[in-house]
Amino acid sequence: MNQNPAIGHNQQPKMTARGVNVFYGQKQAIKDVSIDVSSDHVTAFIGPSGCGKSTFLRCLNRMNDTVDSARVEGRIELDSQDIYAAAMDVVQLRARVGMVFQKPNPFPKSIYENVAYGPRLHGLARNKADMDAIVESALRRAGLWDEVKDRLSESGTAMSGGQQQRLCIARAIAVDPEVILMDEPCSALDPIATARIEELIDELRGRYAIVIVTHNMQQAARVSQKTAFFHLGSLVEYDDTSTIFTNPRETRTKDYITGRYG
Amino acid sequence: MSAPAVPLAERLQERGPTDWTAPEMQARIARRYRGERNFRRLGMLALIVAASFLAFLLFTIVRDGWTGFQRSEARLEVTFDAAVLGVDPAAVRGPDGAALLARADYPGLLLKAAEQLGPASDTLSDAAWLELRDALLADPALLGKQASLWVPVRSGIDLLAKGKYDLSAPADSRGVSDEEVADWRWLDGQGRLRTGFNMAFLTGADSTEPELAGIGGAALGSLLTLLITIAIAFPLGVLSAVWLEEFAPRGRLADLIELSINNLAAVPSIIFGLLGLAFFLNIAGLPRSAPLVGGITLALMIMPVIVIAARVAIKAVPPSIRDAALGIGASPIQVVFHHVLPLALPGIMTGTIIGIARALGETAPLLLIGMRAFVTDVPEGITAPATVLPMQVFLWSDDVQRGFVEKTSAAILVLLVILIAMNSLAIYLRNRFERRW
Ligand SMILES: Nc1ncnc2c1ncn2[C@@H]1O[C@H](COP(=O)(O)OP(=O)(O)OP(=O)(O)O)[C@@H](O)[C@H]1O
Ligand SMILES: [Mg+2]
Repeated sequence: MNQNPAIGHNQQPKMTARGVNVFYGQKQAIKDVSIDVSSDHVTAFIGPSGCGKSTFLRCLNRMNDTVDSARVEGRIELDSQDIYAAAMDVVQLRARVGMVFQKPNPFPKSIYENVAYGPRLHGLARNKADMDAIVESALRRAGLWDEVKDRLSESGTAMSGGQQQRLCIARAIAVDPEVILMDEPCSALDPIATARIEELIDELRGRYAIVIVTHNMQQAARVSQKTAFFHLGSLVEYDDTSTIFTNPRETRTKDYITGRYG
Repeated sequence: MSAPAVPLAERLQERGPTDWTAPEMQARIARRYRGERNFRRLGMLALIVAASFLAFLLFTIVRDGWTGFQRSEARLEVTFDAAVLGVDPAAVRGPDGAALLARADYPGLLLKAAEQLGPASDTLSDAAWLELRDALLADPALLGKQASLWVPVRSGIDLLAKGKYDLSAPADSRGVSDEEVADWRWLDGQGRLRTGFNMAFLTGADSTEPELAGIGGAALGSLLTLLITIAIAFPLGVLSAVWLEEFAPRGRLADLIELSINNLAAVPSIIFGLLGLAFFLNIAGLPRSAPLVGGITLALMIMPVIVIAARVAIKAVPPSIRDAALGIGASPIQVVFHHVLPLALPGIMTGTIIGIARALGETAPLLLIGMRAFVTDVPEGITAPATVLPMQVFLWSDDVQRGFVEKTSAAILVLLVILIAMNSLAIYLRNRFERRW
């Protein structure tokens, strides 16, 4: 599959992938995927279950390194820097490319500690006042501040699912990443909590390059400006979200979007 | 119910709605209830049998053992006569006075003082002169004066005072001579006998005389040994578990290591003793009978237990926590030390304390490295000869003297109290650090 991935803006894309193949042992999960991710908008990955969306997303911050059987081929760049190069510091990469997981996974520590953990790891705060400011601004940007400002010392695991997921987003943005990867961040949440997170994604847009994996077509249409459709490990179509949803080039895309399959 | 000739499909076709009130159905339900009731009764019975064994054990140990914490003493009017002691009063006031006093002839003084006991003068313990020395060393001004002191009596008198002999039995079968009984009656009649708490038992070390033997030396030996054990087994065990769970490449080698560790945990403890003897004593040349070698040997023995417990605890930490930490840029080591270990700690500690409790009760491997020694001093360090609590129990239970029976039970009580304390600590720590996610 060799389509032209770079579309639109004069600006350099934040992340680029070229000819990426991923194998789990003998099994190929991603086949020759090339894509650009820009900072200007939210990119959605859609596709039927098992098509490799999570696998590809996890390549972008090298979380696949933790899977013994996984092998990644091809080239992925962050600001024109090969992230799989030997000189790349994985720890720093993951600080620059943050991740929010499908299931909310706060640490069993206080709300404050959850958010402060990343900045502390990377030495982003010089003193307590700095740290307080970082924690407050991260919680504010995650739309959680008003709900938790009086109980920062309570456990992060004692909150509702939607609050926990926003806490995880706050934790991710507290280290001030350049890219945020979200793997089905709303799949465990009710419609109201989902709406809060979608609002939040909209507010974060432009500040971070955001990639979101979703099974919810309406959600992809609401929050993203670019949409990539994956099928059986291949990138079938990547275009403006409006184009994908109103006038897809490929019939496979059209079938999936209209719910005729998948 | 005879098997009907109708084919199955047809029977199913004809089947009407289930009749729950049919007599067979009622009988089935009644049978089920009966079965459940019987099973519960059986479980109760098993529990009662186990509990009564335990209660019986505890009862006999406490019954035999509580007098082990007491000893009988006789009152003696002692005149600290410088001439009898063989010291020069002037020199005692000089610079070397204390040393001089320590070397004085207390056995001679005791012999003289014992005369006042008349017929019972030979009832005092061999080491009773130590009481005289301690009294004078504590207060040198007593020299030349008279003081009233309580000194330990022989084990036979002690046991008589505690009522351990059946005096109505014929003389040749009651285990105590008529002469001793007469001595005891005389002392008691004079009001010179008392039975009180035996501090020396808790602080002292082993002795050939039951009335002088103490458990303190063995307790300290156990403590020193266990400290060595913990200091070696805990870090080694936890680090091995962390490496195996978090960093070891999966494969044949990892499987082999896992298999070996599981096997090691089941190896009879005597074999670790043989290893300790062959390696630490014969090759490395470490001192015999010392807590150092005992501790290392026991550490090898309980390390597999700690590794297994720690691996289970580490495995139980949800992977989502690791992902979360890795996802914001924690290094693998930081993930382990910031998240995995703190969350696994209650489980690791429970396993460790169970291992330590096992080490505390272990005798077989220590036999081989010489901790069976008869040690009359409280150990001064990890390389000094020492014995341990269970070994002391074994040594005393093996002794022919009647007085050691109650000492054996008393030593078991001390061991049990320490075990209970350690298990309580394990439960406390687990509840204290247990966290939910
Ligand atoms: N750790 C792994 N080991 C082996 N195979 C894996 C592993 N993770 C995923 N796969 C396989 O890779 C393929 C892609 O999986 P992936 O999780 O990326 O799909 P997905 O598009 O995210 O699906 P979903 O929408 O259900 O989350 C699947 O066939 C899956 O079985
Ligand atoms: Mg997925």
